[in-house]
Amino acid sequence: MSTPKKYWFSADRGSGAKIDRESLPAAWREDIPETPEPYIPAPGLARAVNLAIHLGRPLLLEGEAGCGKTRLARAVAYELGLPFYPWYINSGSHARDGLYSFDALLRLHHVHMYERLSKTSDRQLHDPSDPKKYRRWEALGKAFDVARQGERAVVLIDEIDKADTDFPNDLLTVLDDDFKFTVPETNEVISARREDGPVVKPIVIITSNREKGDLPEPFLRRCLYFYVEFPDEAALRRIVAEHAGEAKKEDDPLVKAAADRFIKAREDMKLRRKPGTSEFLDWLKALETFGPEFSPQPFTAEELLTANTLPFPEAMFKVRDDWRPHADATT
Amino acid sequence: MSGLDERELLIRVFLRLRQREFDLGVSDLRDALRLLDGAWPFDHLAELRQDMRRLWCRSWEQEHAFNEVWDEEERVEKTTEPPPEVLPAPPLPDSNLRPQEATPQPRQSLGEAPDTQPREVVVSTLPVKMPDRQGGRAELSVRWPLTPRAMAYGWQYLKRMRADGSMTVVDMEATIARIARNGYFTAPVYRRKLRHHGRVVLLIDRRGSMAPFHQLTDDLLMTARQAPTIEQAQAFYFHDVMSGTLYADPLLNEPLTPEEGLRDCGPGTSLLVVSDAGAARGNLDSDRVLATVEMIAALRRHTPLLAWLNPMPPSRWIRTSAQLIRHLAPMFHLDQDGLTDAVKAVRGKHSSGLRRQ
Repeated sequence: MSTPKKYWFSADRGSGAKIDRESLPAAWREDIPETPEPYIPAPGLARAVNLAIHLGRPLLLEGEAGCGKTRLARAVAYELGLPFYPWYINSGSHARDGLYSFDALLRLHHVHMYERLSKTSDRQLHDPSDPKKYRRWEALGKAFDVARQGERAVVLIDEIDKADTDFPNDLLTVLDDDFKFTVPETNEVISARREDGPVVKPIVIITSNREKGDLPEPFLRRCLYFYVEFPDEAALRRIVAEHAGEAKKEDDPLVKAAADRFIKAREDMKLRRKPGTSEFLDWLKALETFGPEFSPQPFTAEELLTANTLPFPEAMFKVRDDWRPHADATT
Repeated sequence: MSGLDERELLIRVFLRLRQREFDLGVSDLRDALRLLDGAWPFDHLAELRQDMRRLWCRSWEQEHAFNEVWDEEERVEKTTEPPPEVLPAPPLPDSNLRPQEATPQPRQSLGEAPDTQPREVVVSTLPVKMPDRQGGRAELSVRWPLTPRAMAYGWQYLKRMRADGSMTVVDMEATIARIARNGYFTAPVYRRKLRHHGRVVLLIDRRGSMAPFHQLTDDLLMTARQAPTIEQAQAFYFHDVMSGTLYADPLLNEPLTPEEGLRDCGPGTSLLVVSDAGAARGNLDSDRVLATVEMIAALRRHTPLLAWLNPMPPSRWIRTSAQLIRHLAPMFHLDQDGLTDAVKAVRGKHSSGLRRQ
């Protein structure tokens, strides 16, 4: 199976907006991200994404909080013009929750109502004979549905480590070679293929923070693995420019100074929780809005570099032990 | 490409990684070879190497091993090519770091030697550069007999469920039965949610011969506390012999009498003793065994659900106190199977197929 150019995710941006939405099936036209996702992939990450697409394997991302694991999936969907289905895992998630849900109570209610209705239109609306009416696709189910129409979808499985220990293995039975699952309630067998054509594998991106230790070995075997490092100073500046939408911002002296101080602050080994990219963007916004002592004049690069204490520590540190030394120094 | 047979290289690296206990299957090799069929673009070998690392490695240690194997095989593959290339001497990061025997002399003569002579693979003694993981924590994983994840799996078997949760579960069968009885639908029948009520007390031996296992026993307690099946996990500590005194903290600073400590320990509580029972140093001390006998008898008055976890393997129990104590309380090796069996033994149900050691 070869990967057409269409599924090539590149680090340099801008192809996503060109898709012709009107020509796409209405069923999933709405699910394609419309606004661009400002995203600068770490070195090697774009290639890892393409490898995952090419081989049809899930891509497992690990790394510190706030280094852009979750946002990658949406960026890929936007770039390739594919529908995007996020699935945010919590401690009670089961593998089935990502496939479909079935509203048995509503059906029961309709059974009861049906006999008492006289109007034909009402009877049609409450006709319980078709169980498919009560079955709703969830993230992976939607992706399979798109696959049945011959297109790939991007599925994000966010923070897989939050779920029960068996969860990743349960998921494997679905994501394994034949990409198939059954819905017992409606007696359907859903397979990610168009009629008798080849399997159209959805692009699955999984993130993990290793909250509960390592993921099970059989699961890891099926995934491609990528450890996302925190961006360096130059990459941080590019991210700022990307978010602002203006390329020249990359060389703005204040941005340069801020990235410099931020990276230095992060290098403090005593930190219990290192601030991430989102903290950096918030902090930069504060610097661009207020000056020293909350004066309405924004910080200049010199003021920032010569300031003895880090301004606005509340935007950067979210753990008391990290925040206190800086807060004490300012008050 | 350099005329090098990538296919051959991939298969050789694959086989060698499998020898190194990489968990790779046929599908992994097939996927790798698929990358060579022309549809996947790679410009030079370094890119292919990077892709293979993504595909075959799942941790930092594996990546390290992979690099080693790949480089060696690539060198071998290159040397078997018809036009003999002179092996470039690897760049030395610091000449001081090299032992004096490794002068470039022998290598140069190798390069000039005619091709008929089989070239020996030079095992590099170069100092290895620490990988640069700025910002990220170095992921040093430890090879315990039992990983925290395996422990979590073990605790899963401690299922003691009672239906005393919130009334939120729809009982479909009862609802349908009610409709059938009444002839119409009034309201769904709800049941109470099942909730876990596993209670565990760990009695952990500290210091002395148990010192190497402190991290392991800490992990055991941590995973027990996190396990969704366990409602309450307590730990008390002792040193060497379970006699009169228990301690509430791992540093053995807060003494307790066993009565105080085990006040909440009722017939439904699972008790696990974690100690090497003299097996680590090969001790057999009759006084200690007698003290343990008394203590086990005292513990049994609290709960019959008692088992012993020994971090030493059964082959080391012979001719130590452990050999005697295992007749008083079921003793299991603290590995994946042993923990599962111990948890089954203290679950309160008889389980067949139990592996007594």
